[in-house]
Amino acid sequence: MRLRENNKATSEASLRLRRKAQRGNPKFKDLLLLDLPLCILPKRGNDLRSLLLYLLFLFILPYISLAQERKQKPSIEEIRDDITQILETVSEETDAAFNLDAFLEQLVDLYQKPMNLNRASYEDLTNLRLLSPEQADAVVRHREQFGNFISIYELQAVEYMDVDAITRMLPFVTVRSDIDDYQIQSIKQLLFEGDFELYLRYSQILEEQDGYVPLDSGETGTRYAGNPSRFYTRFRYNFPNKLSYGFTAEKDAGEEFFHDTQPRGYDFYSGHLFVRNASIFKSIAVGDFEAKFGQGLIMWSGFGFGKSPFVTNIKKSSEALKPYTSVDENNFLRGIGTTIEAGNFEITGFFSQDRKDANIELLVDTLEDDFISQATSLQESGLHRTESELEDKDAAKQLITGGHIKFQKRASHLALTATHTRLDFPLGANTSPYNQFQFSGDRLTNFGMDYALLIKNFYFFGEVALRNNWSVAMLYGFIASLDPKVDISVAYRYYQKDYFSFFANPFGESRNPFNEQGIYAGISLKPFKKIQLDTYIDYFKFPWLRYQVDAPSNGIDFLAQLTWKPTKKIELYGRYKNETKQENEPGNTSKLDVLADVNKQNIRFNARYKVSESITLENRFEYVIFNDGEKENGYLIFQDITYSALGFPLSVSARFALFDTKSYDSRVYAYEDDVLYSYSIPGFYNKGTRFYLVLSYKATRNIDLWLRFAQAYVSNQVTIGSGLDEIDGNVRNEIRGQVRFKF
Amino acid sequence: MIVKYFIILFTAFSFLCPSILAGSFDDAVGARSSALGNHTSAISDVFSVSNNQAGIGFLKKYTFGISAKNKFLVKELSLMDAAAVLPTKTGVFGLGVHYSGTSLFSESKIGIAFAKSFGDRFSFGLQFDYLNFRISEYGSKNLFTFEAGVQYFLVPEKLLAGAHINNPLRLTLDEETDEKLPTVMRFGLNYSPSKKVSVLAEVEKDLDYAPVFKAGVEYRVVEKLALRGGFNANPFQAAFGIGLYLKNLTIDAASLFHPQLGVSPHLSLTYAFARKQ
Repeated sequence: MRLRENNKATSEASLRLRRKAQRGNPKFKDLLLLDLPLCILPKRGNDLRSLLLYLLFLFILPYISLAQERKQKPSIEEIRDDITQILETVSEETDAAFNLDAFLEQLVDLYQKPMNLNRASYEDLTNLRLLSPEQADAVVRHREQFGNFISIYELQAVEYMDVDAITRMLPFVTVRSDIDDYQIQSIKQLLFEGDFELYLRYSQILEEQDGYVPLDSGETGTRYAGNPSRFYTRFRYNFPNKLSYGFTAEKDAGEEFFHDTQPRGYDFYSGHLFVRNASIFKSIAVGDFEAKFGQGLIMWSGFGFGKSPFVTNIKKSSEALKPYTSVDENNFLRGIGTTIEAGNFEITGFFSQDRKDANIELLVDTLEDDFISQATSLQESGLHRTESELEDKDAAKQLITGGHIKFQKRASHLALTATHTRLDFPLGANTSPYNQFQFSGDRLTNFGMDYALLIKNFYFFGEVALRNNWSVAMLYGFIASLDPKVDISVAYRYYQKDYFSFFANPFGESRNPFNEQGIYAGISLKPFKKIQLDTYIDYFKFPWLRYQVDAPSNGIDFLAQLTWKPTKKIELYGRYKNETKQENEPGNTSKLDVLADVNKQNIRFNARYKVSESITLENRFEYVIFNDGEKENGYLIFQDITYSALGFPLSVSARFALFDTKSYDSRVYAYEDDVLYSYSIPGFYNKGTRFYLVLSYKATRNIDLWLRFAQAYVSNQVTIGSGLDEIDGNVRNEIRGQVRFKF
Repeated sequence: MIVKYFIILFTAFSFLCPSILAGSFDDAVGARSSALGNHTSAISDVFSVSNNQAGIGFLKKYTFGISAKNKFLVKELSLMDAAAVLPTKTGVFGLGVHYSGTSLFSESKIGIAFAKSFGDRFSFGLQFDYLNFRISEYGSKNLFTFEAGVQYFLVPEKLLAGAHINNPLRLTLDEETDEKLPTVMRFGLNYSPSKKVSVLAEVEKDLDYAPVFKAGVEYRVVEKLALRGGFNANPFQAAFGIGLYLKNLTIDAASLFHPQLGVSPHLSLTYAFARKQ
């Protein structure tokens, strides 16, 4: 039930509000005890505002404890916990390094400068996954109906809101009137009164890796050009919601620095200037930026959530353009872009020209008796340490122009996207059976349509995209909150085998949307206040061959997680994941490959316990069963301890872990704490131990320091790593230091 | 009076079962069950006569239902069922008729069920089955067996648990070929946080096959319409369906999707007579 008319008699409205509150959510039960003294209700004819204020007063009472928490800012930890769970799943799925610092950064930004509930758009509210679509929509609707929020506690009167969501978003939101919000008195204020931040980071593996051992005379082989240290520098000026500019520079381990192959110093530079909310321009991007449209079938540079224990988190939603500040050397756009907002329309256009790493080869054209150059593949590692890696650096030029027109009304929208890509070297024709439908050539056009539609508690979304060869990729789905205790999500995807887009990153089993069909269903249950059960199942088919899968194949992925939070200080969860895919049968010596099921099961138990205000403990036990005809097991067990006290400048985080897996196949992934904005999710295999210690020290108001030491030890191997990264020994130590200047 | 009509109607239908059907005795009966991923153990409706007899123990009205299902759009794999429920003072009686197959091969079953609920929380049901297998120009075979089930509310009106076993005595169809009548056990939960929503899960174990996991969701969008979805894992099969609740008549439709074998449509009708007593 919803309040539809503003001018209803207030007492009636209050009753309805109460009824709504009581019905909608068990959290309001407390309220029943404090029965509303109707006699002191504002009289008829008073505006709704005073009524709401009155109600708020009552609402606040049971929430004083919440208010106290707010004062202490319930740390970014809780959110980060959620994110790490997502990340770990993603790592397991893709086994690829991806860049998340931009996401983390936004979160930290928001933590430091909370968003104003009275200004936040629907997108802002869903952007960081703090609220579900219907919750975000309800917040905007509430504002439209009753005017600006007067206090943060008014959130409790918003439809679909629950205590969890409110607690989750509290650190990141605030309520201010419009007047004091980002009103810029002068250019000077805009240019100088934001935050300047400078990060310097250094890290190095202490043991000598093969790539750094000088070659003996007469010995031939590849060696890294530079030294094993890694440098990272980042500068950023940020005036929230208005202006951001800065640069990022990085030298990876093994790359040279101001020398020979790297005369410009760092191997990678990235810079951006980003203006927001300047008259009709919602955003203007110059330099490096990210573009994210629709469900990512055409354009989604940067990180995109996929399958995770957050089973209803399957719809993508983002601002069209965002500044790029990360160090992934390939997954961004370089050029200019802008978004114009006119009424319900939002029009985005961009142009990007960037050099990508590629392997270029010369082919003899036998007809013309001439040479043709073509790129065999685009490289994505961003590493330029050896001669061949350096040769590939920036070898191919990629030009992308694109546009996105969106008609939007709160949570619902309809949009069109088109992009055109050109390469200065054609991508070579693919010769293996498995990749013969993949993109080749030097021109690519993509266009498509996407939508989102909120009808009551059902949120439908989808995208259809075409490539200029008329191949198609589509994704349809919905999420629905059937009950305060039951949320469901369903998605269907159909990606043809010859569809392709360079920056696509939609929901699915593989990162790029081609050669895949699948159906996904997830359900999140909160049967009791402190217990949550999340589960999903995903069935998928690959109608064409894949790498090392010489026949059409299929698979199924299932996850169930039970979370129990008996008190505010304790969180326990158990997780079971079971994934079956098909691959060429290992050990098959006949000429013809046949497929075999490859099954991987993960069983995890995780406990977090806040011993005191400053000390938190976390344990995990994870057991992996891998079976591709031959069964093998892996274990990981760890103990974390974190010390972080208010008013004390030093915080400490440490872990000791034991792992024992039969081989790489039964490896176990675990998120690790790191210096701010750095992160790692290593996969552990073989038998050994892991230890790390992170110190973070607030030296002055403007200076923060971080120091990290990490050690990996394997007991059943004589070397660690492979190829040029191999260490002749069974210990690998790594140090990392970071300093941040803030002014 | 009503009882009389009821019996006439039912008998008439039982003889009208068209002979274009085929299948097995362990398939979910009723399109509602199918749409929920073939969930059978913790549902209480007229088709509980065939699915889990304990389910009829909670019913208070004379109810009659027919169910028709076609597996993978193969003509020979069609199943036809009829069920009737007669609540009395001593307990609830049920009658179930099943036919599947063609004139070349057919399976049929007549089951007489009895269920009794103790309070509103617990119900127990039992059914005696008379089975007939017939292969044209080869012969036919008759067999008696029984099945039994229980249902109980773990949380009143919110969480229902159900269990059912078919052919507990492990009867064999043919001693010579060792052709067995399947012995199947199922256990399921049905969680309804509100009147609008039900979430169901079930595990099924056939003595000779790997366990099957099932899950489904039912959502009563409005009073007269329910949307349903579900799946089976191992082997995978997705399902969805709708239910239309008219005055005394309920129409349920469902489709199951098997990635390799294709679609299985299912339709059922339920008619509940105005409450007796």
